[in-house]
Amino acid sequence: MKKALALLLALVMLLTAAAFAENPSTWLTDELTEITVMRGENALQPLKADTIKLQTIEALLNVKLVVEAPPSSNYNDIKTSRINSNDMPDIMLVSTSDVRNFARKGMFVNLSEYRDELPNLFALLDANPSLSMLTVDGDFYSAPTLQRLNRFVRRSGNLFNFRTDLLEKYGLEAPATFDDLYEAMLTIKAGEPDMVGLTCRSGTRKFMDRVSYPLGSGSSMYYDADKGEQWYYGPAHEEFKGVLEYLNKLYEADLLDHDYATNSKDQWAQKLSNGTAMGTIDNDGVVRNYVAPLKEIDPSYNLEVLPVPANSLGEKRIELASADWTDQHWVIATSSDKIDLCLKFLDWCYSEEGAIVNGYGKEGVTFDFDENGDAIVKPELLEEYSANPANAAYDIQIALGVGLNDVSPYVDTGVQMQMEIYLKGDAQAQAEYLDMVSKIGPMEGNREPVLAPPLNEEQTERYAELLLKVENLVWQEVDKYITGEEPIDNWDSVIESIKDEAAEMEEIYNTAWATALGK
Amino acid sequence: MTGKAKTVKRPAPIREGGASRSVFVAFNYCLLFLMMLITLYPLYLTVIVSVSNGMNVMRGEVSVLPVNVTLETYKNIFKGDILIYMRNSVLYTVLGTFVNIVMSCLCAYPLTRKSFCARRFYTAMVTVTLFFGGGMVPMYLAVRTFGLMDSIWSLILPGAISTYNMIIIRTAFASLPDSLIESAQLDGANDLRILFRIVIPLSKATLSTMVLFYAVSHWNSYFDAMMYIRTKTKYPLQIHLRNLLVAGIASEELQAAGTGQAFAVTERTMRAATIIVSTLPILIVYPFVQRYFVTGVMIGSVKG
Repeated sequence: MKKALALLLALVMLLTAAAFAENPSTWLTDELTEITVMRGENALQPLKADTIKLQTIEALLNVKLVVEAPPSSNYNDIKTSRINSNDMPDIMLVSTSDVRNFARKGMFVNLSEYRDELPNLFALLDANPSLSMLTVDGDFYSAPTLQRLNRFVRRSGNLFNFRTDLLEKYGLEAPATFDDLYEAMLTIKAGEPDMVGLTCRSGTRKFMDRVSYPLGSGSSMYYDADKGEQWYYGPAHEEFKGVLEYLNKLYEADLLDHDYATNSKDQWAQKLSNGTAMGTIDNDGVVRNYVAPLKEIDPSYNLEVLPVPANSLGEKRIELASADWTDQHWVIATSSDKIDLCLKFLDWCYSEEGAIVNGYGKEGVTFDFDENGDAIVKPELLEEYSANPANAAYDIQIALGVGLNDVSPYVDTGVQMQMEIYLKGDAQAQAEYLDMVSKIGPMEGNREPVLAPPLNEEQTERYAELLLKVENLVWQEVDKYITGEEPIDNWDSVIESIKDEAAEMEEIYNTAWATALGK
Repeated sequence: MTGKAKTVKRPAPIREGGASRSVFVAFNYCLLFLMMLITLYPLYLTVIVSVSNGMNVMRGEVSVLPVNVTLETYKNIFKGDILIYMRNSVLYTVLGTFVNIVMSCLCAYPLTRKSFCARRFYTAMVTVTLFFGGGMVPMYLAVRTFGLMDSIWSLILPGAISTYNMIIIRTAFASLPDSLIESAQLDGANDLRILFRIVIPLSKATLSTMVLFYAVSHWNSYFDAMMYIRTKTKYPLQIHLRNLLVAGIASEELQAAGTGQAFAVTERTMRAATIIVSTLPILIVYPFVQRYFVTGVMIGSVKG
């Protein structure tokens, strides 16, 4: 009897011990394991080794992240050398072209083969079919950096920025069409003869990249949802003539900056910030940097994003920048000896929990959830890190180890945005800023960008060959038509000389597009 | 500039000048002064931009004098670990230049000795490296295989000899009369003694120039460190500055961090201040070695 009791007791003790020794269910591995991750380091946000985020990940997943972060300024060279010499960390950040170049050589793990083990990642990828453009031969070898949308998300793009105070001064409405814009600028010019109209930066090519699409065409290969949902080589089509004609009209009336082909970024910034230019089609976030110096001259001056005017075809369209970072991919090296763990970790990063930890740190310590379920950074942290306003949005992210510039495959930009809003000062200014920012994204005419389809090796080679040929022909001609040196009708001869190549390029793109979409 | 002006003035006593001569001299002074302005203005502009308020710079109001002087930009650069990076840069430059000069001399000397039978062969081998390099990846593999990763030697040993500079040194050594070396040999001096007691002291001008060449290239180099150094506290200054600059530009573009706020420090003032900080040490050293510099290069090239 005693013996049986002793045995029973022993059994109970054993079971209890086993129960206590059981690992937390969130652990990805029983033994604390290191995963090496490499990414470029933004000098404004140096990565620290022992942040609250890394501690949280270690406690939650039993995974120790060892982050290697060479300076982003030369990350490209370092990354290429590491890949080529097969000296890769377990996980690393690469570009789309790296994925296309090295995936076929077997350097990166084919994630599509592990689809079942990556439910969170593939749920996001499947939800956005256009991301299939990032596949290589139909398979995902990389996990693109995606954005987790929160209510503070700020969209931006090469948008239409204009001096709204001038419109008010001359009693003008916001231009509904590009012809209205022409008329409005004529009126303003009559009152302000020293002003240049629209300005731009970085040469004709960059300028045309930004204005061709809103004006009804495209400066290179572009997707036209208004014209048969296909890819077109813009300059080879009639609509491009309309773009040139309009720009020539502006040029002749002195409403297009006559230095449009040569302006550097500094010169462009100068014209916008000292009040010489009426507007520009460019990155609204960058342009907003020039509002403060402009208002120093006269507080009534204002440079704002307006809805894009309709072009001569009656379309209102302008492209937003992608909400995701589709050129930043996380890949797992095939040379890694812990691929399974890396897969689990990567998938965790794309879960809600992963995004929140990578975006905000530890609940109760760095942030709390409000009644809507949004993560709100602790106010005392916002105050602590706002000491140097110029770098505050980075300073707080450095301290927490979070955000786009850290290891965050599924980015929540909440910390950055909440700091920006906090810096605005009083509640009214904060509300105004939030209101202004939130209006930009849904503005009429904004279109989501379309990713170029993935080409196979043969297509890539042929496409590059054709592109080189036509680009040489096109870009030595464009300025002549804008400045009026050549009459617009002569553009037909340019179209004639490139039409065969353009047709072949379009076919390559449209074929690859259909293949990638599985049509 | 003043040197040139003097040479214009010097012939005056020989050709007694009238009014036309004075006009000529005045014209020359004006022309040279103008050229000096053209040369110095970009540097001057960089200095005044770096100490002006970013908002004024942006509006294009800074061209003759600094506006709203502020040292905020420099404060931004000098925060953090910059002193460590400066110390590293000085260390790499001094040690690297020392190794360069010693190795280059040791390589150049035998190649000038006619009694060295494989001289032609080795000269050819060395010359080949002027035209062909292994490329980035093989170099990386080599450095890794030799276990130099993340060590100061990865910045010094792979580039211990610059072929171009070594050939200049060789030419300078070769220009010394053979009889000098022969007489030393008759007195019982061995090659090392000849090199260190006769050849090197007589080639001081060339070697000073080489010191400058090597030192400037070490000071300015960032690429090797970027590739081979992984510990941040071992970074040289140039990596840090370059990173600040590139990141500043990239963050403005990519993150679209525009919140519409006024800041005294902008990308442009940052760029200017970075240029000043990184070139100042070399600018300070230059005048002191300049006199060697001119004669040194001439010796190397004319007699080659």
